[in-house]
Amino acid sequence: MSRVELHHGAATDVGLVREVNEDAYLVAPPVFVVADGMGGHDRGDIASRIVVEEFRRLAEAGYPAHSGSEVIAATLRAAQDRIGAYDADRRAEGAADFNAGTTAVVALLVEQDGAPRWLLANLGDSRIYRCSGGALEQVSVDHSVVQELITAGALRPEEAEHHPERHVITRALGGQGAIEADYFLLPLASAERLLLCTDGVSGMVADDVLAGILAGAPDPRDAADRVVAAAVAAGGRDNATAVVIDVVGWSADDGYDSDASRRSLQEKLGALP
Amino acid sequence: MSLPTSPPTGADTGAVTGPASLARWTFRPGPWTAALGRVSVVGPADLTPRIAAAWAVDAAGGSTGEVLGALLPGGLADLESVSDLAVVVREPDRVVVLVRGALRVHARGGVGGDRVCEGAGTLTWVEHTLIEPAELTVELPAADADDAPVTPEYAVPAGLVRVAALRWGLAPAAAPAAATAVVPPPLPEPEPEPESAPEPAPEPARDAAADPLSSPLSSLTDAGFAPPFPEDPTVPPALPPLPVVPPPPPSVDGPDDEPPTEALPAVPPAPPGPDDVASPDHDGLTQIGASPTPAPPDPLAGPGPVPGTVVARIQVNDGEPIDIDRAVLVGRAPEARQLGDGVLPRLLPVPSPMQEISSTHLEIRPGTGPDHGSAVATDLGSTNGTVVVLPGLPPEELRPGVAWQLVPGAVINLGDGVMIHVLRP
Repeated sequence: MSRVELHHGAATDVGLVREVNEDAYLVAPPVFVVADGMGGHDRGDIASRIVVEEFRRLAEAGYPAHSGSEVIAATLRAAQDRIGAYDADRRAEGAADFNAGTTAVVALLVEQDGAPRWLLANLGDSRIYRCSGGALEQVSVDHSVVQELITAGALRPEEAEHHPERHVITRALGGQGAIEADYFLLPLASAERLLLCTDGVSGMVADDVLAGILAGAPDPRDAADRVVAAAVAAGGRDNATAVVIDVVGWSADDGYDSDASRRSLQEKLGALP
Repeated sequence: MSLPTSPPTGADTGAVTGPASLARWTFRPGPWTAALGRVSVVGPADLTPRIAAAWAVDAAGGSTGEVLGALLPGGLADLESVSDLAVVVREPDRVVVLVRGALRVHARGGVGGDRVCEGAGTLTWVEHTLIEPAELTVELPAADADDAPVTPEYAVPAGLVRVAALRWGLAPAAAPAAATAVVPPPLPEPEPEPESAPEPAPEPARDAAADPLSSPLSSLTDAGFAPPFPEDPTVPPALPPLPVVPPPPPSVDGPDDEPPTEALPAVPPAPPGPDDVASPDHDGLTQIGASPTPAPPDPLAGPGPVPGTVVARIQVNDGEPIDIDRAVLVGRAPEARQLGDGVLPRLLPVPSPMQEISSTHLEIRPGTGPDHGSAVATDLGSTNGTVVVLPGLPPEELRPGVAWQLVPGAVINLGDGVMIHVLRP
């Protein structure tokens, strides 16, 4: 058994161009989510909020510490089903070709062999970054046409910005077909700070600028505020959302303490005289 | 600044062993990194990877020299990049304090009375030997005094933490050793400090309402994550059933969220948005499309063909044997990336004080195809490579990315003295 203390901050802004904020986020330790709804006229804000709702239910219900990706997968499936039902309702009301969709990035604290881990998941082009030892690194890999072309060596990163299909993501919630998130498992020591953000942040603020902002804001609330403010200041072409999570500390189990805690609990429950 | 001192003690000793020792570390969260154990290290955040490495060595029972070796893998030359550092070594009969740069360690009580260990201006470090000190306070310069929030003090027996202030001694509320019935609440224990903060003008209330910083403690127990930490860790419950029922009242707005918006199902079909053909740079044009490339093969995804079947066991040096019933990633600080949906690999960190082992060095998993029924090892592109010795054969260096079938009796050498022995299932 181990104990982890997390501090977090979150911020979102509709930006300077859009009229609706289709982003949604959840900070319900130990569950954190950022979702970017898609398709303004199709009400992507509904889709992103459904995802957040489902993960809020997961956080409230709790989950086994030794959970694997199946917990996230089941929650994503539940969200997918609800988005599909919502689509069907709208179509039944006469909205032709209705398709709400959303990305999702998820950070969940789990435990393995008695040690805490970050279990991360990505679907779409929202991103997960980590700060470790002063450096910023993108952990998630975008599910986008340009990223897949870059990975395949068919596109140089600097060409991505002008690629005609730069807005096309290849996996998301909503729409048809299977939903296959990517999962990542990190030891806490290698991610003292996590940033979950939508492409309204990562598309507006260069990684090195992001690194400077995060390094200069020890308080995660400040960090989230400043990241979103930078995205808006850079043009705010899209909704911008950031969740910053700091691992403030964790402790290995202490035999004396845990034993005592257990006994105390049993006493409170009346199991011991 | 220094921490307020705790109530006088006098009874405690610096010994790390012995049931009578109730001394422990307490800290306030902040920008510095501290590894707390038998050998404790405090340094700036940019030193975190090496402090974490030192912590891993200490937690694995490494000697003081091995811990310092992990902290300064390049030897004394590494000190050029380490301006501030404090190391506290608790030996059975004494406490040794090494300090360098702007950090100071205040020792109170013990043989020889109060001492201040200062490292300013030294070429290497200053070393003090303390006999039975009652309390040690590590004085850390405030990185950003204007912004320093007033935070509670937490107690921790051992661990890796980010600190603004650090103290070792009897926890103020500590009970006598025998009184196990008197129990501290789950860590971290907020210990309200009566003294006002020494930092000038913190501004904690700035956006407290919008975004409470201090999340409730997230507790990991065998019983699973539950918001209030109530469960008996001895009872592992089943996975909570995921709701299949219609959604609850549809507000997604929690205390942390933006101003409330309307309820979900009541939303009528929306009016057309302002986007569509407008500007080509409009990021609201994001749409779902087909992948331009087929899905790449995923070398780390999933276990062997029969999940749950143990095909072998491995033993790292003389540690506990580990079942190979799914992928195991071995390294200095292993991590798994871009996994598909399936059983998570096990992350198996091994100590590497000389940094010879890569962070994610080797994968061992149940084999597929011709290797079905046995374990296979794959070097994941490690810096220094992996050598396998099969019984009766000369050592072979693994080719990165190529799976190698393991038989019982095989020994895998990762470097840094880490040997993995392959055992029968």
